[in-house]
Amino acid sequence: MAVSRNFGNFFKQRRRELGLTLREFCRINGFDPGNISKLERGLLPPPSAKEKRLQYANALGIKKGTDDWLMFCDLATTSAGKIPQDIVSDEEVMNALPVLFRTIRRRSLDEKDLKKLIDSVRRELR
Amino acid sequence: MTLEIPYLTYSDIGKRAQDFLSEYHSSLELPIPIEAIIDVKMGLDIVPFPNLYKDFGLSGYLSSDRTAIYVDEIQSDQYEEKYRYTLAHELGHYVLHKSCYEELPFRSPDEYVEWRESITNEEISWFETHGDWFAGYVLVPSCHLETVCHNVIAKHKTTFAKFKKIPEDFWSYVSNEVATYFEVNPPVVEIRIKKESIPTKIQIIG
Repeated sequence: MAVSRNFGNFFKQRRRELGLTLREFCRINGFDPGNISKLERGLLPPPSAKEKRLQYANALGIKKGTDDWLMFCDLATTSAGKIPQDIVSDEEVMNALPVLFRTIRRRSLDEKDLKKLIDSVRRELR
Repeated sequence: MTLEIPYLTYSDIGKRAQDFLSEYHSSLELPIPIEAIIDVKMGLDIVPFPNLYKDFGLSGYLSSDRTAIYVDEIQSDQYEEKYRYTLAHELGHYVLHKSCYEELPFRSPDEYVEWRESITNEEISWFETHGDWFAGYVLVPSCHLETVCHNVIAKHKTTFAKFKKIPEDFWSYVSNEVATYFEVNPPVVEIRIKKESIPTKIQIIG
């Protein structure tokens, strides 16, 4: 398995190796998809509580004492020290904006709506 | 700057959808696992986005860097068929409109607003139609549609035998049941039935 650069990537890679979509994974394990999505994208730090980390490891099929377990713990520890940035760069926002979209009843979004949409995307990336 | 609209026929898009399914779901087993294809097989993020529909009237969208599909959180939680359709529609943009995403002219939020305001609804509607056609083809593959319609009609044979002529809304009713096999909303099937000329291929009376 390729080494993931951070906890979120590692988490996502393991989940996908189980053949589970984000929603399936969350449904089976009682997790919130919004939170797990943010964790996987590095927008939330790994949990600091040992019990929670163990719960995630179990859900990902990672057994204590294995190489994957060590990597999971290492990445959780190193990533936990990095607080996700509060300020999102314009580039990140640009990458996450919609290009082709159609709204309900085909109403155009005006300047005010578009600025509000940009703010929402920015908040989503925090 | 206007968008370069690729002219694609319904059958062009059908071919692209078939090619896509051959690559990512060659068994064609129903229902098409669109979410698993996108998330697990293709490695695109599917991101639940709170209030996307409520605040902006958007069901979902493909991000400008083509790495994620954002979907209204309530839809992804509660409206399975609509959710599947949104994913397939956005996947259509991913597959069909790559070049459009490669030439985006905005570099800042202000430029984005200016650019998006300059795009007319007419221009956008071409792309959206492509997305709708692609979603219909991928979720309701041609190779299954006729067979499923045939089976549903055969199931209700005794009821239909009483008809002297086919009621106008007959295929709308059939679509309701056929849609359950594909896990889509009935209008998706109704359009596919029309586009594939299924009414001319299946004998109902006699």
